[in-house]
Amino acid sequence: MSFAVSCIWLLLTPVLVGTENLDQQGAAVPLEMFVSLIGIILLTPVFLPEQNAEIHDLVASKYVSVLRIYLIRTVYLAVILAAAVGVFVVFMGMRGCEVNVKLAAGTFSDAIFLGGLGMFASAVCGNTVAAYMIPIGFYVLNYGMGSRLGCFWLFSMTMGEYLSKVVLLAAGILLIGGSLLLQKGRSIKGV
Amino acid sequence: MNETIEITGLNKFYGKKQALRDVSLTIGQGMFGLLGRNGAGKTTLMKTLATLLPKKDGEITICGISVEKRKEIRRIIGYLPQEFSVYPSMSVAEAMNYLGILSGLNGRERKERTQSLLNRVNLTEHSHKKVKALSGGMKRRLGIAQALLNDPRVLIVDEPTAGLDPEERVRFRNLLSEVAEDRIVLLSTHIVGDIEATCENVAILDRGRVIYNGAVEELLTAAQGKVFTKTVDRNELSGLKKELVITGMHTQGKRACVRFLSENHLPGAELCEPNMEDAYMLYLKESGADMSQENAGIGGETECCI
Amino acid sequence: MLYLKELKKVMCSFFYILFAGALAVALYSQGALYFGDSRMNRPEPGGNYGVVNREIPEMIMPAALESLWQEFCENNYKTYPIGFIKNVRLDEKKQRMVAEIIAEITGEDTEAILGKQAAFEGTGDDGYSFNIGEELQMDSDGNLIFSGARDGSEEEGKDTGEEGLTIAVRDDMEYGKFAEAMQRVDDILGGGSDYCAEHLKSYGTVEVTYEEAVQRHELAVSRDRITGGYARLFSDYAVAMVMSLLPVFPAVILCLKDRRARMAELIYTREVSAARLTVVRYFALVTAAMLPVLLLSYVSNASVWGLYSGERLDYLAPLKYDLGWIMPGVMMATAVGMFLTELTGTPIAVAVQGFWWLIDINMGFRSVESGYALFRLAPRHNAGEKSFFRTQDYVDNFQRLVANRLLFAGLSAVLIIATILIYERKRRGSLDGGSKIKRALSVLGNRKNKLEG
Repeated sequence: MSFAVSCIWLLLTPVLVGTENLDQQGAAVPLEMFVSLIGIILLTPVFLPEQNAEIHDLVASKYVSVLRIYLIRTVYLAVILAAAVGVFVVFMGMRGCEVNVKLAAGTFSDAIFLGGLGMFASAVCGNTVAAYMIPIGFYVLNYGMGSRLGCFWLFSMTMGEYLSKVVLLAAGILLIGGSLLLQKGRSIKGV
Repeated sequence: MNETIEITGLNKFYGKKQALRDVSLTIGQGMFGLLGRNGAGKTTLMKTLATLLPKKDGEITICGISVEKRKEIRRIIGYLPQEFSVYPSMSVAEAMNYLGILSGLNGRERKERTQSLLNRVNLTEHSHKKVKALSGGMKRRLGIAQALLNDPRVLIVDEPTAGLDPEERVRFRNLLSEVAEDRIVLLSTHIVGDIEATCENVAILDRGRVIYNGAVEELLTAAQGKVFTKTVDRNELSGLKKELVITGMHTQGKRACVRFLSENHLPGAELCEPNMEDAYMLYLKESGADMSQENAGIGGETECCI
Repeated sequence: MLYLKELKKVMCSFFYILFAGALAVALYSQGALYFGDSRMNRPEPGGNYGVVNREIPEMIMPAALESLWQEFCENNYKTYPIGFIKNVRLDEKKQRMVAEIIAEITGEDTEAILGKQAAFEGTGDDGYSFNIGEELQMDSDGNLIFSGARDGSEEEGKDTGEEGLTIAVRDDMEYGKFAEAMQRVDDILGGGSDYCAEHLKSYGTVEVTYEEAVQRHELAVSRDRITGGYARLFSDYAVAMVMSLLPVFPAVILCLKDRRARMAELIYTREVSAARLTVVRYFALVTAAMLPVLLLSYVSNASVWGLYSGERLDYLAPLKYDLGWIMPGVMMATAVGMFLTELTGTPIAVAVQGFWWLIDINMGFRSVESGYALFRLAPRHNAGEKSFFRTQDYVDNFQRLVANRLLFAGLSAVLIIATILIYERKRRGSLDGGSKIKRALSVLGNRKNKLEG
């Protein structure tokens, strides 16, 4: 279902916002404010199947560790995320927008950070639906707080600022790593 | 007061697959067993009676009330589903209280009945425990307690002993038997021993059809003279399985003692007293059921599950 | 009793703490929890009282025409259908339609206008002159002001090149006809431009006079009794930022709880009616969502009580705005959550409500008027500085606000009725929560396995 929702979201974005003839900062608007949300959609439910106790027990009793399964899932979802962002950026380029690799990388960083927040929240509360609230809540904060969020402001590329994306990417990777370790700990405890 | 369940010409489809075919039963007070393989239609029938599935064809009345009058039916039934579960973070007492509210009981009734039922199922000292901390057997006992909250005239119990240890199973069966003294208890199971131990009457379902409806005793009587044991070499087993319905087997070194059904007294075989499982397997065979899976699964177990 | 049980189920959970925390953090981040440094002082003569948009034809018509001409020449029109910029390029046919409208406004020939546009596309020189009237001035920031003061820029921008075309509003052009013509332009562009009736006023910016500022202040004191304005601003932040979105989460979680605990069937076979159970759960969810808001609204409002000692304050203002402004938004988000979760058995309501919120919040940014539109999920009253004493705007749009809030309360009731019907059908086994769709999708995924048997 995550894939379907992500695809629908990407198809709707050009309908809702301008993706034609935008300069670099203008092009950042649909990318940072819309496309990056697919990070939440794709990554937050990584732990969902094993949140059913019976499935978890079955999977955890096997030779291949649960952690490796989560890691594989995370990696292929991140690859899909990168591909989706890449395709959308190319699409915008074809419609006369001033896009480049920096914009694509920045969008990917936003998506990884939001997705990492969702994964971490899912690992902490053991409930994927509840976990969605954290990255969505953070996204909402960005509307109001803007640049006061400093390096964690998601929409910095609209103001031509790119350096903070490195911080977001690093933070996102840390959150993802933390969530994987947390889930592994829960597995060992049998929770 | 009409204390029967009357089912006439019930058909139920899941898409093109027919789950129940022309089912007709009359179930009176006491324990009534519903026996059959997995996929025979037992749960479908139970759920239809519990108003969880719509009835398309046929007539069903429970204590004189048509099953279409759902609200009235829900007032007089208690249901213990096959996979019983409650909010894990609630305590036993909280869960009973919550389900009591949903059953339309007032505060006083809930308190009294919760206390008495938890006492009856030996869960009083665990009443403050969270449901997730209960063992499988305790959960099932909680299940029966909640099903009795509204003092139902009909208790519908779907495979209640699956997964319980022998001691718990015996305890549960005894509890059901007590409860059946003054109401209808419909017990669905694929564990033949439960039927044999508790039910006077039984219906056997196979592929949605009722192939037997009558007393347990009669089923056993019909199997008289048709159950044998014989000790054979182990290398003869595969041949035997192809020819006969084997209901039990004990291996002793290179030899095996098999228990089987046969119309004729085979050379070297000894006649023995049929048990419920023998009678059930015989009935399935005589009604034309495919017995190959039964034979493949035999290895000393006394359960007829596939 | 059932209501208390359901309320306890919602509130006694880790998730609810997260929810209340998220609400508090979001409001704190907006500065909505403390207005103690925003005292509303009586205006003093000779001060700066801000600006306001007014329907001043002499100002609006030339400014709007200039903007339209610029965009027409470039064939690049800026629209904001959902608050985000969308550049629109018109085809030949539609450009001609716009040219005809410009011709109508200016009295110039359509072909000449089109010719000039074509020449511009080739050379980049728009070759036009723009006339500013005597009373219309441009200040040092480039804003057009109708103030009577002149700074000698009358001839500015005038290009009288040999082939120059004078683009100016005809002397006999009535404002009504002008606005109607501009609305037609907006329709051609697909809506969301500044030429629509709602936003045309944005071309007429004037400074607020001392007398107007005093009047505004007195209205805030008499009508709002001061605290009403702050409560209104808090409500704007609350409903826009969080309360039209976050309540969907507890609704989804509660509705999925039965399934997650595998006790749905146990409840289905109970005597309690679908209507009673659904309505009680709904009220419990709305209550749980509103409780922290009620508390925080008073924390926010109380931060200003000390600033106005001796004045007659309305201490019930937060409660009124909580119930009248915020609660319908909460009701709607909760109803959407319950309806879609019961229908599909999935948390898709989060995506749907999130999507709706995203569109709505951006549409509401553009102006006060658009913030009170009938179908605005989160009515806005925050399009400018010191919104807490823009009482006149509130009074002017009060009927629209009431209609809006009643509409959403009504819509949420309709969704709850639909939820009851769905729940009852699921209970009877007649509806299986989207599993047909899921099965169809899973068949697509398992095609290979199916073929292999």
